[in-house]
Amino acid sequence: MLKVINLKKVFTNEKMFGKGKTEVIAVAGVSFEVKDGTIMAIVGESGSGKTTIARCLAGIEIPDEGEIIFNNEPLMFDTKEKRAAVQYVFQDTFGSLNPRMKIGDIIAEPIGFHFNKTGNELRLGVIACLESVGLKTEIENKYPHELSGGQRQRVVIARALAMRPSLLIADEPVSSLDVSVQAQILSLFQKLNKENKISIVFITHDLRLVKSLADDIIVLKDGKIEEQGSVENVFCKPKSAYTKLLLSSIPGNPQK
Amino acid sequence: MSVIEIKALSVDYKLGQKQLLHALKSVNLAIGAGEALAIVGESGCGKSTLASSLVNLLALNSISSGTVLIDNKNILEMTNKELESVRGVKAGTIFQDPAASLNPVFSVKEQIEETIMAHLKIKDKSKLKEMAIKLLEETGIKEAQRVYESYPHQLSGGQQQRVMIAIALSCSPKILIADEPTTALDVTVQAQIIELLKRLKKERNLSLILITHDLHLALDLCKRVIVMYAGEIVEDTIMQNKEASAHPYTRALFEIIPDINENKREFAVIPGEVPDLKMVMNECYFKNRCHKVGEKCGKAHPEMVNGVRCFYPYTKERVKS
Repeated sequence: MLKVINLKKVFTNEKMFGKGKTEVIAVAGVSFEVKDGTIMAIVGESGSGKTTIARCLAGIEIPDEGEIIFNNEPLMFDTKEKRAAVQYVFQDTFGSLNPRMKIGDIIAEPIGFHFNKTGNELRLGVIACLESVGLKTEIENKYPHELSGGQRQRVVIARALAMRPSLLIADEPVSSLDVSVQAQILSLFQKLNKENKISIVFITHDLRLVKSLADDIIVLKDGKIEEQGSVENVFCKPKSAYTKLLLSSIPGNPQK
Repeated sequence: MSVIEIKALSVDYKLGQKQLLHALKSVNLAIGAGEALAIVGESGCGKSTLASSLVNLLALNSISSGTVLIDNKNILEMTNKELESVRGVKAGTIFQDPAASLNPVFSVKEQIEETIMAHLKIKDKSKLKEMAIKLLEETGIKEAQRVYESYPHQLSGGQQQRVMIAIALSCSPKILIADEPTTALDVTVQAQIIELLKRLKKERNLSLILITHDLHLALDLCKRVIVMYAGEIVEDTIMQNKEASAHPYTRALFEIIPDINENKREFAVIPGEVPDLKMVMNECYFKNRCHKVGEKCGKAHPEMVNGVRCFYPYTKERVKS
């Protein structure tokens, strides 16, 4: 469903007073494929290019080279339907929600715009979305700052689901959450994947989350793919030395 | 002989006119010399309040009662002047975000030397430099000379945290308090910092207090684990694994972190949230989230018995030594 072929992105920093440029290669030729209804995990340390890939998939960054094919067409955001088909969940829940809007309005706005719903029909849509992520409907009259981090992340997911996407891109969606809330949000992702058949690209630096969640995995280092394959293969028989290092860094892992 | 002794410590935070938030409820704890202890729990369970009360860094709206004894002196009754001889000298502290703990406009040199000058009253410049470089080298920084002259933004997250550890150890304290020291770091760097703490604890015979929400991480470094829930200690046990714990909350905390050696395709979840700390209830605070809940749980508040605050604990597997 999603195919990324030889994706490249270079950022150029101009030095002060025109004293030349420095180039940072964020993503250096990455290719992968996300199959229908599967969860793909992209794992790597800070600066490995995980977020740049997510931003390219979201159309926030324009890749310098390479192609992104979505449903057999180059990924474009020129129609409403195409924009709705790919949705995003980011790490910073505060930054993702408008602090001046009530939760109900935050979710209603895209539903009204994309599906031309108004009045009671719109409200029912909002309630259905809130319920699908396990939130109580009273929450619609609250503002983002009144909610806990886990609740805010659920609102962000509810808003993404309102678009009935076929692909969800989640960039470190649980990194800023408490351990017990992490588990709750991860099982929500799993439920969405199973019940709504949404494919998910899940970006994280925490390998522990990946084993139970994802089907396939990419290990990134310095913008290049170190290892890719099914989760089972990569975890049980890691080939690259870097993957082995990541695995041995997990706290409480007896493989040390 | 315990280095820190906490007796009946309660901390409340004033919220507005009448409301009080009970962050710590009558905590008793003794920490021995050279002991590594982990404090574990979810957000809002009082871990950080407990750590800040050890060096009396509590917020201004707090009301504390009870005693925190370090070398038989009550920290909570000390004046700011007296506290100067405790903070940094007897107990060093490192926090979660090294970038926020370091002052961005001063170089590493100035920040390490300031601490040494203030506490140890050393003024000789070459002596100061020698001490600072030695500390940086001890924390595993390879280019100590370069880091010594750098500003915080020129360093990586791991290097910044090492500098923080160097500052915390600069006056050779016997106690090191580490409040989520690796949460802001990458996994591989996290493993390095944990190894570093392990080494320093051994070399300097430190009493180490590690605050974390990650039980597996806690067990990598510490044998004794204190589990906190809703401002109370619910379990205080020497443990190596899940089977050595007794409280249902401790077991649940073990289970919510996926084990990569198991082939499970689902996540264990603790339902619900930490209770409202404004209320004082005559029941078990974990009652509504517990899967071992029984009839006693709603009727009385459980007391600490054999290191566990629970009416229906699991039987601990014996610790193999």
